[in-house]
Amino acid sequence: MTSIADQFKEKIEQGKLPEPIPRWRVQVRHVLLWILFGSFVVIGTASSGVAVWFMTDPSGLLMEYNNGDALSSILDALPLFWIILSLILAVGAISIFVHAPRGYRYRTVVIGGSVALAFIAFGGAISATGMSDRIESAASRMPGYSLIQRPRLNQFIKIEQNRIIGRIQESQNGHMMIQDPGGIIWQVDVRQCDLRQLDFVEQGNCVRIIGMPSSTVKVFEAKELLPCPRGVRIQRVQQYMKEQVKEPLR
Amino acid sequence: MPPDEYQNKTDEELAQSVLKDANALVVLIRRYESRLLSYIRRISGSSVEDAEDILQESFMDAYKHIANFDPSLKFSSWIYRIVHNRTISAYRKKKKEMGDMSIDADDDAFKRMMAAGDDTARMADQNLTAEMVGKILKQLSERDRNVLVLAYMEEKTYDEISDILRAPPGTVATWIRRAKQKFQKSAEQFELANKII
Repeated sequence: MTSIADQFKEKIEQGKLPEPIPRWRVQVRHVLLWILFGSFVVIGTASSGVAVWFMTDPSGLLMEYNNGDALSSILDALPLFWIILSLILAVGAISIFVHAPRGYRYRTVVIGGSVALAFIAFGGAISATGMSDRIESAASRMPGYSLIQRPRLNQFIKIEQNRIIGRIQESQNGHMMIQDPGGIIWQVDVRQCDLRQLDFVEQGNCVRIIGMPSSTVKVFEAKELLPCPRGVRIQRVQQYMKEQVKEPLR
Repeated sequence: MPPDEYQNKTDEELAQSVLKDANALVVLIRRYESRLLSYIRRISGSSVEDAEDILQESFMDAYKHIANFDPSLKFSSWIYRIVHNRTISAYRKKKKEMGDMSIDADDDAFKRMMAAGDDTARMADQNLTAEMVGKILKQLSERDRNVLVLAYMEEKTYDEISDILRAPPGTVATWIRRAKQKFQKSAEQFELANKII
């Protein structure tokens, strides 16, 4: 009985051995794998940065809109899209690393923990440098993103519930002119609000107002003046309102 | 004919030469053929013919994927991994019933397997024969059997087993510890059953 070595030798001499996979293909596969891993980490970190940015927004908890219900406010404030995106990218990065040539030598728990820590740490750094605002702004131009933001924006524009939102056009002597996303100019009486604490009250800034519409047309008496939460961009609200043709502002 | 200089090269050097000269693989096959045949029979209980078929396919796989060999790994770990995967795959695919484990009483591997128990004195009292050890191993789960065979019969280190089974070294240590406990428990039950009979 010929040994396996002798059988192989015979195949070599007869030229019957299959072609081995060339080294360059293996190297290209490794490079692509690491590029994919790097992409997941970079995009995941950016996504975490935006999630952290939203979650650290002092104006993010809209307690005044939820009748003081803390749990509802916290749930509303969670940027679910960015959190879920970060989770998906983290799982993808972990999965690629585990299947990398030497990835099996590390426990999945350790890899997962390291990826999560990196996302949170670098995400926090991105948020602190102000890049999260730009990333979110860029994402807002993507089709479909407005659908995700719609439920959040919905709660800011309810005249019937004494809430309006708009950009400050002018502010003096206890009165303010704001332009809401529909283009309507409101005259807002802010004499009941303490403007000394409100450093965001500057021309061009976005503000939320809770108060009471006056009997006079397009006049609003403000009880509370609040900054717009992060990610609320008047242009986006305008776009949203164009889509809400069936529910015109009263 | 493979050049004589190949005889003095390490396994890793030969593996890196295979793409240029397939004869380097012939030298490697000669070095590993018999021990890998024993390994296949130990983990699957297959016949000599089946084991040779599996081994031939494994070496063919190794040749086709030689560019995947990582020189920082030991060649033996790499080829054991390929053979291990082929063997497991062959038996899962065919859903074959495992044959009796091939263990020879004079085999040093058997003696090492006996020494695997935590209490070697107790193991000696049990008068386990090679045949009994083979039956006990056959009863164990696939993973328990594999780690015990690799650690005690093939004398692989934890790092090598980690590379063969693609698991973290710490996990391998845990698997071996648990497999030894199960082996000991099964040995006690086996011995008891034999006494009753």
